[in-house]
Amino acid sequence: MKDIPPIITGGQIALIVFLSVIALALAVVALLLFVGLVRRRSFREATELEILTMGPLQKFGYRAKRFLFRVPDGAYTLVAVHIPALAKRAWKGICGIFTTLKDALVHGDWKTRCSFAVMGFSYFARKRFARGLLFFALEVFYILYMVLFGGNQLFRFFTMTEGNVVGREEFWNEDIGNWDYRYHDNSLLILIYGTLTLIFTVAFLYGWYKNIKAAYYAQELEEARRHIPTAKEDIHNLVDAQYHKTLLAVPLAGLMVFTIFPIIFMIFLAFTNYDAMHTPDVSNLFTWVGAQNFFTIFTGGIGSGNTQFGRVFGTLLLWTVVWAVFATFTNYILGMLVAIIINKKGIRLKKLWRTVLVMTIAVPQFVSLLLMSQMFGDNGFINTVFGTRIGFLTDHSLLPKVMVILINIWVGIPHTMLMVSGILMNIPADLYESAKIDGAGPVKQYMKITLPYILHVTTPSLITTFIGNLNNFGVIYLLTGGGPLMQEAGSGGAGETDLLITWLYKLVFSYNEYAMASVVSILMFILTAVVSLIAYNRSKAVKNEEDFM
Amino acid sequence: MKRLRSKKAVERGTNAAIYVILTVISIIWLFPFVYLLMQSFRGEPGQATAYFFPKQWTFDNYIHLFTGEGISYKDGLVKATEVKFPLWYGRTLLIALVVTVIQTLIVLVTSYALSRLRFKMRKPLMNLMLILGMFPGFMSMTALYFLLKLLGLTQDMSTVGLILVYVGSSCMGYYICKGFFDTIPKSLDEAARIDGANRQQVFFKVILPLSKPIIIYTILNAFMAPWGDYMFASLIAFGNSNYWNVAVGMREMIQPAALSTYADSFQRFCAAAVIVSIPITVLFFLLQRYYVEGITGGSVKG
Amino acid sequence: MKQRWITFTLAGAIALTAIGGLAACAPEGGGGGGGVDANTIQIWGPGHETSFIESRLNAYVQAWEAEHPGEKYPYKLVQANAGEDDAENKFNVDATACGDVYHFASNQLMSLMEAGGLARISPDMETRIKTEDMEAVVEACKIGDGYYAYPYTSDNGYCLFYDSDVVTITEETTVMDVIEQCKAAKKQFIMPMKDAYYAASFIYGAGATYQATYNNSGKFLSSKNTFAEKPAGSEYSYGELGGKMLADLFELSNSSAKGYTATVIAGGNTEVETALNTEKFGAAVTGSWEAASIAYATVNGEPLKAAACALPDWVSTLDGNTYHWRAFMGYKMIGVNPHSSHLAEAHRIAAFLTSEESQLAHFNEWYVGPSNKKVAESDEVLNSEYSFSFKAMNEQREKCSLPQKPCPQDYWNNVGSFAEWLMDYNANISDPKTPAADKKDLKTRVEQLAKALTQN
Repeated sequence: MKDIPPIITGGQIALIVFLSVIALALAVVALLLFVGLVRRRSFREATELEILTMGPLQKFGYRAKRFLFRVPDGAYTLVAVHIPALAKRAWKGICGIFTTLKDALVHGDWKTRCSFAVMGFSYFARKRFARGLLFFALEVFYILYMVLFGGNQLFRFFTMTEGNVVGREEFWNEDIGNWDYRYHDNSLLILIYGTLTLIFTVAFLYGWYKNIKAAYYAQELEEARRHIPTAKEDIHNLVDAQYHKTLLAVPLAGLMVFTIFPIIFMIFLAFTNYDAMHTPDVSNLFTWVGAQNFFTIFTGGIGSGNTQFGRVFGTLLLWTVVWAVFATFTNYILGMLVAIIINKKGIRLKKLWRTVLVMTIAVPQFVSLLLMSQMFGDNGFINTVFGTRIGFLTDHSLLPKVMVILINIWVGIPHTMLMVSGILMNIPADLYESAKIDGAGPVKQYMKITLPYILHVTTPSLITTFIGNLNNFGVIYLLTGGGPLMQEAGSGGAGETDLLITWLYKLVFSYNEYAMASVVSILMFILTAVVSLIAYNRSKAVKNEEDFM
Repeated sequence: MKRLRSKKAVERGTNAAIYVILTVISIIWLFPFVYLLMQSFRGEPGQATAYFFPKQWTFDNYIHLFTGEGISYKDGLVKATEVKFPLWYGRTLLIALVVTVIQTLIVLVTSYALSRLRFKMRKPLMNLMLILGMFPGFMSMTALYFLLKLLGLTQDMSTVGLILVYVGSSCMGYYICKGFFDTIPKSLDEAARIDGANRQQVFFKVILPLSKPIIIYTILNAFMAPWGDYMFASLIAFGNSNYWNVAVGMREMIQPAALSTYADSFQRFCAAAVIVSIPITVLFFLLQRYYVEGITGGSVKG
Repeated sequence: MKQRWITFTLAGAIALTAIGGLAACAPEGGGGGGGVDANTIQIWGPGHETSFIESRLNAYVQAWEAEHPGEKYPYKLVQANAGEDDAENKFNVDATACGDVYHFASNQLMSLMEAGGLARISPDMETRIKTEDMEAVVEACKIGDGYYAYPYTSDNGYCLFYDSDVVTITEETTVMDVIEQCKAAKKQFIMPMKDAYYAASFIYGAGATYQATYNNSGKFLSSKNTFAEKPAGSEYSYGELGGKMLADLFELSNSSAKGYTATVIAGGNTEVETALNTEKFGAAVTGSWEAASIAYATVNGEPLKAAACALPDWVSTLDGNTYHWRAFMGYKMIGVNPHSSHLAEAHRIAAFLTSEESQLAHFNEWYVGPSNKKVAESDEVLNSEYSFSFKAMNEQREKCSLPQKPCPQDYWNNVGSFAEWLMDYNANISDPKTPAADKKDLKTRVEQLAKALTQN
């Protein structure tokens, strides 16, 4: 029996706040939309001349007004145009699959219809043996796999529920004079093989679909008395028109096996109860529990072991975002400043200054970070020299957080400086010359020429760095190991400088809470994915990709 | 006249201030590495000392790395440690070399395909790779560990396993390389195609020769990556220190357990750090120009 | 042309390997793909004992070959150091790849059972350990009806080690007295205060209890504690009393506090070694793993007069009563992996590694108290230079110690958070500038701790 549960928990508050913020935002957008639609005509974009002649205050007012009027437009397009378009495309895609299948079935001749059962038949019948063989081999391989191994795994995969799986059995083995063990089900292996089989099945279905499509296409070619490509021509095609297939075959295969498979496995894991109390092959196997883990996160759950996952998740999320913002922007601005002052005309020994900073990139990052953690440790150099025991990385104040950001600056500035230096060298000098002739001082030159150019060019990189910092495992883990343990009870071992990702690491490797860790990963992923998809796809670089070539 | 002089004076003053700032920055940046170097030669026992320059200079830390010995706190004697540095270094070097070759190929090939070739799934594929990159890497580790175990590539064969894992997802690092390819004018492609080259020939004969900076940048990045991988290497070695790589071994050297058993664990860590950093630093300096060109070329338009 | 063929061949080779490997290995399931040689037996032990374990294994092989003249020992014994603290984590990831024989500490018993890492020992062995080893340790190996590990050491706990030139311990000495003596001699008093292993020792000393129950397959069932209850004759709860004591020690160790004299250090083994090195060692709360360093240390060219005793009592600043100071007293055992393909041989090796002669050799090399009764009472152990450590541990065990039973991870997390919370407790409540709303409330915090440590 649990003790008095808290009346309203941190996680519930987080959920309520989250939902109300969304509701509020929607209301604001709707309002602006209405206002915008009504007053759209009354906002007129100013011409260049008018902008130039505006005073600074007017310009600011104009820009603000323009932004406000753009928001409803943006929201409107997103809601009314993009999302329906996406949905329509997806729906069309699905319908298209079934249409093709229907066409092939209805309009296909006997050769095509046979291809439904025996893959590659259409090609055999038309004397294109190479392609036919490929498809046929795929079918044989898949059937063999399913019969020998996969079918069994798939069955156990879907029926892995409580009471349905048996772990191990202890029995006395007279031969060896010891207690021996017989193993039955192993839920982890069931999960893994099940996932693999599912992936193979999906791949096979895709191959089967392609087979049908190709069979029908071959039939159409034959009916139109056109030439069906031979094997030799296919190979020629592969290095020319279809070269992307050749090039991407191996990378995508690697991606499939080493990235997609683990991610799907991890998603399935989030719906089980695999943790330290439910390991794979003893008596307490783990089983499917549906979406229970997700509720635990949001209801400030008394998850496994009295840990208030909801509250911890919220706190860590806040620090992760704060950290990403500070880490990215301090590096960016300071790196840019350093690059600019090195690049200034009157400074000599430019190469020397750059080399000194670049040296820190050359040393492997983990060495630098481990070294820093040792230097600032409780027994490290700084403390021993000054005879103190200041917990630079272990104190319960803002100190570890500040130290982490500072050390990250130390690690990160050379990268930014390098990048910006290269860009600075590319800015045509005559821009500066003409500005000087027009009487612009150095600060103004910087603001009008240098800064916009650099910003424009490095925005994609900035976005990528920001997203990378959200998941920046190495810096935090190697420096503080997650920092001092949080002081509140029920923190589940999370620390004060823990990012979501380092806490995740602890959950997985120290506490073996695989299921909860998967849930947290999925939530983290949703957050970062939404942010970066929007940012990346809207960034000017992508829009102007074609222009640049 | 008066105005010009004061302007020059102002400029000289600014420059002087900038020199001071740059010197301070250089000292701050270089200080930890100088400290590292000093500590690797320190002869006195203990984790840290209150002074900067060692009182006893010795090569013993380096020697002990290779003989697998260390100075024990318990009786000040030189005793065998669990440090198998040559083994770890050799393994990591081998892994780095193989990964460099394979990863460069994969990244170049992927970047070119995504940059130059136009096919239906291009944009969705790029978005997919962006999304996939956002999953925390180590969540996949358990799945990958069991996958490798299925193939028999853990423990004894963990070198092969590690290589496979590193190159398996390397195609997701196409970003900067693709940006670089984007800056090569399309007219070159078209001219070559008019002359009758197929796409493969365009890639190998036209584009690649122009891409030396980005190739070297990719090589450098691919080489530097395996040295720092702690998590997966320690998982796949599963406690057996014969299969560690340099990052795992060095981290174990500064764990409290090692620091309190051996009086020179920290110094040996510094020596190991110096040895590990040297080839990479040298490579970096030699190829610095290309690295910079690669970054700026590739970041310019994303 | 050449490049095209290279691309194709490479791609084809990789694809073929992948398919071939999968197809070949798939039916075997997880066990066969380990990548380890068939006749190897893996032994896991702590890193610093590698050479010791190797010598023991050699002795085992020699004994075997002496019994089977003309034959060569058929198995290959390989050592890997997955340290004792890590054993349960490794088993949780993949029990089939773990060592066949491994060392672990008694508090991991249940998690190892749950992870499927313990094989039951045969009745013959049961009789042996029951007759030869100490009862407490044997009990700690028991799950349900069977015994699942071989007892190895008996003093995996902590007590007070000190320099008898600096500190004198009598019946009435309290902790603060010891600290004062260290301060007077300008030496250090070291205790790992933030470590959850040590942090709750005052709370238990005041009389609190904590109990975690498991079922016979190692699954955690429930836990309860009395941290929030009050001892007789006091209006403060155990948690408050113990917590305040720890907070006082934290205050003394805080280098930014007024009157800091670098006497009390919140640190562990590394700090002890540093103190021994810099001749600042006064007293430390540590275990037998430091006994040798302390015995070997020198002060002003002469050997340190090492001594050890049970943890002294302490006086609470809240209610003025004197309480004991309890320590966790655990044991180390050797377990056998049921997934081992050479189960019988693994059992024999484990039995040998915990036999009387091995335990004696272990004591002689690493000064760790044995669990074997005969060895513990033998002349060698009682009269050795390091017996001071062993005797102090025995004293601690008799006087006031807690058997270290398995507890869930949350226990360590929550006690650790509590210790972190206490770090600036004294400064917080005595600082006039802290607003009333931010003042820390010990009573509430203890209640939260008690609640967090209670599970159905």
